[in-house]
Amino acid sequence: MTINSEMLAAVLFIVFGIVAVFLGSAYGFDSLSQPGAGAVPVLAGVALFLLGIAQFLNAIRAARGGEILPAAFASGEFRPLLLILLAIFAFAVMVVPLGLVPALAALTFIAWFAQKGGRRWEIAGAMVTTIVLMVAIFKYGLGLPLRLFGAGF
Amino acid sequence: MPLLDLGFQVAFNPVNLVYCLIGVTLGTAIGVLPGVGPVITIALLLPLSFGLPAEASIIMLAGIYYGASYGGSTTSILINLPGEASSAVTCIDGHQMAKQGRAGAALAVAALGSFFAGTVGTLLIALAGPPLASIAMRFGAAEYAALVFAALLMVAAMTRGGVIKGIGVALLGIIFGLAGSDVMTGTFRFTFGIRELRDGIDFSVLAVGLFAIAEIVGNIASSSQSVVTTSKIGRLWPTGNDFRRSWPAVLRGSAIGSLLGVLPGAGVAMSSFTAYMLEKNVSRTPEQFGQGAIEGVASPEAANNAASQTGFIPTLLLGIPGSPVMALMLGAFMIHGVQPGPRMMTEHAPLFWGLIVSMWIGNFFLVILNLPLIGLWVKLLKVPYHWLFVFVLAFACVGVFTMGSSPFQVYTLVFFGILGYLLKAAGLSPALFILGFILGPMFEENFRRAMSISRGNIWIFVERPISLTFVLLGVAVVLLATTSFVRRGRAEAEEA
Repeated sequence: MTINSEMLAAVLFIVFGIVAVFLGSAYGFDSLSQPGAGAVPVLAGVALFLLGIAQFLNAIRAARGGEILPAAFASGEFRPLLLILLAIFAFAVMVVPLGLVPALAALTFIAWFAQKGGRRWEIAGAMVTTIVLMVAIFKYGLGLPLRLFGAGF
Repeated sequence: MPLLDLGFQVAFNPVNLVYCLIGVTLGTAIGVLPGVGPVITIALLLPLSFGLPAEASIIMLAGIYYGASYGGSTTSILINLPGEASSAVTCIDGHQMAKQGRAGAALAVAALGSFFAGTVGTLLIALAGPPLASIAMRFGAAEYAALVFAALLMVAAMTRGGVIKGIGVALLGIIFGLAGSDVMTGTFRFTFGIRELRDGIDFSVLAVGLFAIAEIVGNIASSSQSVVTTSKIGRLWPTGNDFRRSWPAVLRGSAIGSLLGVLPGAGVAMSSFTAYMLEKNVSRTPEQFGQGAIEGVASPEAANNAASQTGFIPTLLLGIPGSPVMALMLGAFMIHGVQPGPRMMTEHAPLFWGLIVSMWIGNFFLVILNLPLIGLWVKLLKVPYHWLFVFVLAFACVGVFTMGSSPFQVYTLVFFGILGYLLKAAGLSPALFILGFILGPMFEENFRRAMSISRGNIWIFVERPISLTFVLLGVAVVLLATTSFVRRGRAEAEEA
């Protein structure tokens, strides 16, 4: 079964609504005359949960009425999503121990494969351009204290 | 007008002039580039604005905003591809004019009409500012809470996908906005023991994650568009007949744009669509619309630029942003420790008036930039997206990293990238999420204060006339949104 966008919205509302009520109630609702730190999170969570239920019922009604609802996820999007997130993650892991240049090289390399249009031999050009531009803007243009390479370089 | 004089002094400061020029040039460039809009660009530049003086960074970001609506019109006219939603309507007649070899006249009318409308919008802010601020000074906690409530409902009602989804995603934004230490009790909320979250979720990281990452993924998945043809531009200066037909359209467009720009949720895209429809209705030759009628370019272009300007009114004077770009602008003010609102005009007079005057100067820059540089903008369209997105991604990561010099913010970017993708997949507006995020803490503080003042009497929100007006307005808009009139308008605005 493919999940449609209406149903996904309902699931998001219900899940985040429950989390907000559960965590918010631990911060203390107190009273209406002196609302505590948990009051607004709980109220917002309850409202979100109720909207989630309404959205869920709407989605069910639409599906039963024969309406074709758009699928939430397109299969062509998983590859770019995963590779883009992986590229950011690699940057985060590498930037402090190895420095900005290797982190940017890794980011460019991984992200390049997110799309199908780019030719392989272009990677080096994109990598050099990106590194040069980023170093020029952030390190020399804005004067930020960024380490280009990790210790030992 | 001593305050406008102050504005001129600030705006004509050479450093600020340079940043204004950078802003409008960058804005035009990104307005031209498909797939990179003002929201992404402002989100990406937010981390950088830390290092700049407040006036310079706000002036630059504002320049990007209204510059982008100019840039969007260029691609609409030349290649029938709107860089921006607000310029989608311009495609209809603008591109027809280009096909007839009159692209130059269409671009010139768009630029001159926008300049006129921008001037009207700027003057309106300067004129409406002081009286509006004095009214807003009388607002108490109940009025502010009700105002935020009404603004969120209005935007939610106007957003595609229906009212339930609109209100729901705004609530989701509110909940995320509450993370961090509670201003009244100091309790840490939704921090999960992570020290970096004690000051709340960083706005720039959230904005970049929600907009840029999800947008890049969507664009890569559907990137098949490449620019095939560009039209011949033709002579730039419009004919006498063009001027005669355009100026009443520009006047009407400016009026509509100025009015709709102020309303939360109506926004720039709806103003250009409404202006186009009105122009077609009042025209003696409505059959020419769609065939290259110059009024069909002049009026929506004037409307979207006027709306871009007057959109600053609720943001600057009430602290209530009516659109996602305005929410980002509000975030930029907050980064510099400036709280927009009725007191801004007195407490940060140089920034307020400097920004107003800089918008007028920026609009002038756009006229002299846009027309001679059309050839350059057209070349920009040839930048392949598979190079552009790598650059945008790298810029986002380095920008976010430099904010705290710790990779934590970059990991947060991954989280908000996933959330942004889920919101998009569910057909939920990330813009409304951002509005909820910004307005949530403001709503909470005023709501709790109002409840304390009234000793727990919830009716305080309907006992005071101003607060009651806001509550009724919000409820009325939601009710209206379920009627066919608004639904049809929204659908048509989206189609356009």
